[in-house]
Amino acid sequence: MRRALLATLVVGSLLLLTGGWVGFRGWQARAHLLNAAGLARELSAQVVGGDTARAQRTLAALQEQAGSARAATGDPGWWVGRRAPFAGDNLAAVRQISVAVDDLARNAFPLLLRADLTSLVPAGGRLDVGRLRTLSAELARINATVQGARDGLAAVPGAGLVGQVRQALADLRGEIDRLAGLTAAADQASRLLPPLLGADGPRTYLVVSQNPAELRATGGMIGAYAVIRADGGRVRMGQQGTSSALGLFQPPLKVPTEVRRLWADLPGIYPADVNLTPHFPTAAALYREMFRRRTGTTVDGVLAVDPVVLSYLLKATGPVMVPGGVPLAAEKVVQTVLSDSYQRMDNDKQDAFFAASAAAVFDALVTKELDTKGLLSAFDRAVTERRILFWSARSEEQRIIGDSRVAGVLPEKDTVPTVGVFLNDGSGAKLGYYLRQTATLTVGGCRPDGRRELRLRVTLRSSAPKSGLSKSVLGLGLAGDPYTARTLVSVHSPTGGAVLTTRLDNVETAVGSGAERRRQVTTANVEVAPGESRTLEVAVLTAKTGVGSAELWLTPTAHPWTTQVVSAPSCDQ
Amino acid sequence: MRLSRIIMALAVGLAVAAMPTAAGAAQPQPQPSPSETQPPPYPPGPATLAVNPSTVVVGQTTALIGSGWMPGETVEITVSTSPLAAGVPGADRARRSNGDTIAMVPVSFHQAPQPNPRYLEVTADSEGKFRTTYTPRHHGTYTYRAEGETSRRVATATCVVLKKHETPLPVTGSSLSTPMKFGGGLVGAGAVLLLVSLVWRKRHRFGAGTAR
Repeated sequence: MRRALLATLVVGSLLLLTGGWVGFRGWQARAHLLNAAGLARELSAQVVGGDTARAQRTLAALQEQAGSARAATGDPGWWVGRRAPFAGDNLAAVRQISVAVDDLARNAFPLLLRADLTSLVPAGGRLDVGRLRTLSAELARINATVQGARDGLAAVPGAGLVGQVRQALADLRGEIDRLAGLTAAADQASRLLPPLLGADGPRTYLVVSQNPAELRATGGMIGAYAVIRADGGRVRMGQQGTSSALGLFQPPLKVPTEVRRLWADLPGIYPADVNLTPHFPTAAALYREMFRRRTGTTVDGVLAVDPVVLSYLLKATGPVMVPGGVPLAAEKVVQTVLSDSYQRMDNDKQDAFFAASAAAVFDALVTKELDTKGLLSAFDRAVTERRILFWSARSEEQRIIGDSRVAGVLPEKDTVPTVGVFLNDGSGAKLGYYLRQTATLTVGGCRPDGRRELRLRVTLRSSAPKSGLSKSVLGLGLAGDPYTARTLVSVHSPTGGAVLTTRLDNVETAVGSGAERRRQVTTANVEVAPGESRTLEVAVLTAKTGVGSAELWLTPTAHPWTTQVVSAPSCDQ
Repeated sequence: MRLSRIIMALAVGLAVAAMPTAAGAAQPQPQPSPSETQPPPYPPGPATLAVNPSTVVVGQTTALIGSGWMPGETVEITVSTSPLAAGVPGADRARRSNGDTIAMVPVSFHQAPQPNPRYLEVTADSEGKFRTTYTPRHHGTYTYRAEGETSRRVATATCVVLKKHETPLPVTGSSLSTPMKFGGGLVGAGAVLLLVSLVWRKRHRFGAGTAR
């Protein structure tokens, strides 16, 4: 009897001791981790700001804190504690967090700091591509470490953790996901840039400008091009020209069958129509071939940008004065470039104005002290909105670009059911500038066949005046009334899905239909008179899926879309 | 400030590229010259052939609606179904161990479904419009190709035909969770029973001890 009591007492006190020890170490680890988190945030700010000396000191402190946290969670008491029910999961999670932070502090951040970016600053218009190659190897290692830490954290089961630990885990996951996205992009870029910039021989590219005043699926009609030559890291601007000067192509170029069924031969006849399809590689390849037939020059890739990107850059530089012209500011530049210039100037004056503006913006970017964060976020926004697109004619490079947003690749398999809403101008006018777009996507119920129904609502409103627009804005006026904008709205179902019904202002409407990259496509004709708005309601089916989330892929427009996605619970629950 | 200078260099490049090319956007597009075989104008037009609704279930009737044809012209519509194996939405697919998906070809009479009828002939009215109906008998993708005999214009439309719903089945969720929950529950119940029996036996012994 006594023996049993004694044994209980001993076991009990042992448990208490272990518990107390683990608790004490946990409290220590918590303090270290909190310090480390603060330091990591400081470090990232200093790295972006280029303050290397201070970043080094921050890193040393971070390594010490992270090491202590790892040590505190690595002793035998903690090991025993992790085997306990309930508390064990939490202790294991804290241990995983400490290991991840420590790995980053020891293996990723020092490399990141040591990577000397000074030598990369272009000198005399030339980027040191050899140096970039060396850096690329280091970036690959950094990226591997960060992805490893991310995978380690992803493996920690989130269920059954106490609130505080769960919150810490979620925060850290978010931070590391962001970091992993960054290092993956940097790794990708550093592998791609040297050959792209002519490290292995000279390269030629077309830079094209999309004009959202006349909408096309990838953004806007390609109005003009410039040839860019890159050799050994040096980039030079070559010949420039307009799409209209390329003329039209009879017989038409070969257009992919699916695209041909939707748009007939138009993308193969007119350079202005290559991007009726939202799949940028198709558009870029067609434009490249048209350019080759007219000029005899075969380019290695196509880069597309639009004037809205310029407005984002101006947000970072502040307003810029154009000599003898108007001040160019972020809020006004889209209007100036896409509307006012057509209204007020003839073609020659427009050219002079654009040349002066480009020089002014250039001066501002070179001479002004700029806010790095502002510029970075300008780029981030432009890429996120798919306003900067790139396609390489070399398949091995195009594979590395993969399905990142710059590629503009319409995926053949969705990760999340994605509905595409793409706008193409059908009036032959520059009225796209006056359109305001809204899209709402609502996830509906689970169907017995495993598909889900999505409800899409797209509203187009025209802010165009009823009179006073110039001939070059009104163009061909194919909608009848020259002030009415005719927009062909294409809805792409998720991959393996279908488009059920289309209603325009509550009346069932006849739509063109076809398929593209495993999606069903319907195209409705939406004509909006000045000051009016029209609403398209489309019922869409997904492929068999359990998930309750959905995404929208939209044509980037002159004025940003107003969007909303209403998710629903997963069908598995 | 080094990173900022690199970013700036990139920004300058883009800005310079974006500006002068934006100017060219104002240029008018080429108009087709009248001498050649008349190409269409460059802006895309509204659909000249529509299927309404664009998705149906087997046996449901859809309307084929034409507009923009020559007044009174005869339009021939050819119907084809894409082979069921070619990634038709709704066709059965299987995943191989290496991650590839392969399409499963049904081996019953569905193997080569011929659309019926295969040809339709309609006449456009004085406004160049027509309307007819079609009832698909198999699931898959139906493609309608219309060609005007006078205008030689061609238009294509597709209709997705889904299988009729099978009788609704209860949603079973991910395949493993239910058996695992059940198994876990059993193990839990077993543990509780074991503990109860231990406690009960101990009590019993205690009771015996005090009685002694």
